[in-house]
Amino acid sequence: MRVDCVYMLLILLLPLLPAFVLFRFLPSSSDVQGPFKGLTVKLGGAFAGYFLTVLLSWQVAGSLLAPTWSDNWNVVARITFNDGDHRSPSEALVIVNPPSPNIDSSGLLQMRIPIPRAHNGPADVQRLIVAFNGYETVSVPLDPDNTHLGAYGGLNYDIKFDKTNHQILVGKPIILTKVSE
Amino acid sequence: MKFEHCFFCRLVVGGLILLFALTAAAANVRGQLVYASDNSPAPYVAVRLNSTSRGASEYAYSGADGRYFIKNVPAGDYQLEVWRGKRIILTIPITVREPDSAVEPVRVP
Repeated sequence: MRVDCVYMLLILLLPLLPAFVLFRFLPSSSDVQGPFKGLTVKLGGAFAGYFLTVLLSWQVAGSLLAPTWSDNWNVVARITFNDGDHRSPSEALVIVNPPSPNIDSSGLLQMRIPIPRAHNGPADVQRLIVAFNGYETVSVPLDPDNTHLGAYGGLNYDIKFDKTNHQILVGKPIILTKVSE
Repeated sequence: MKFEHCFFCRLVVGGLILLFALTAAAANVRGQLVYASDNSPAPYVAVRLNSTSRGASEYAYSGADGRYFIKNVPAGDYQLEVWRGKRIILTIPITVREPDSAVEPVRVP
């Protein structure tokens, strides 16, 4: 599970407010005692209230936010050939099954791919390569900085990174052009 | 005031001419990548044009048949770079002419 630091900070800091209000204006008599994750916990006063609120926030945040967090894994493997007459392994086209790209009949494409947090120029940018027999192959740079637009022939696909839903939205259609003979 | 106005007009006209020249100079390049070992098409290989004076084009990729298309580049002399992963494996000098330039098949290792 990807742990988002912002949410963790909110979960830890926000309960301070109700804990402060409760124990500023009400008599401080809270007491928490019992086993927790293999340890025996015994807390009292304001910190007990804070501890309970953090636990509650953690559960609520976990149930609300977990579905929106992506779960990307890094696959490490080695590609080899069983004969001497082979090309570079880096030319291998790797397809995930069940297919990661899901294209419905209307042409809507949805897929999950890992995006590095930073890149060192256009050669580093992840690209969608869309190929179809008889049509020109299209490259769509998934670059939030739009560095490719500085190059000749770089098309603006209106790429938007929706950090809330962890989605990359390609704002403009990927148009395949028929190859003219 | 008159001079400034005139200067502004010249700037606008100059900009339009420059824009027209840049637009008019756009050319398209097409070619094919084949494997040096057996002349079969080299699919899904990245290529781009690069020039020290004009800069680089956006990366284009060959299709299943090895054919690639690089669009909207200014006419002139370039290096055609063939990339594998994050490095250049082949560089070939080519001349791009308007409106379309066909490049001889490139044999990639």
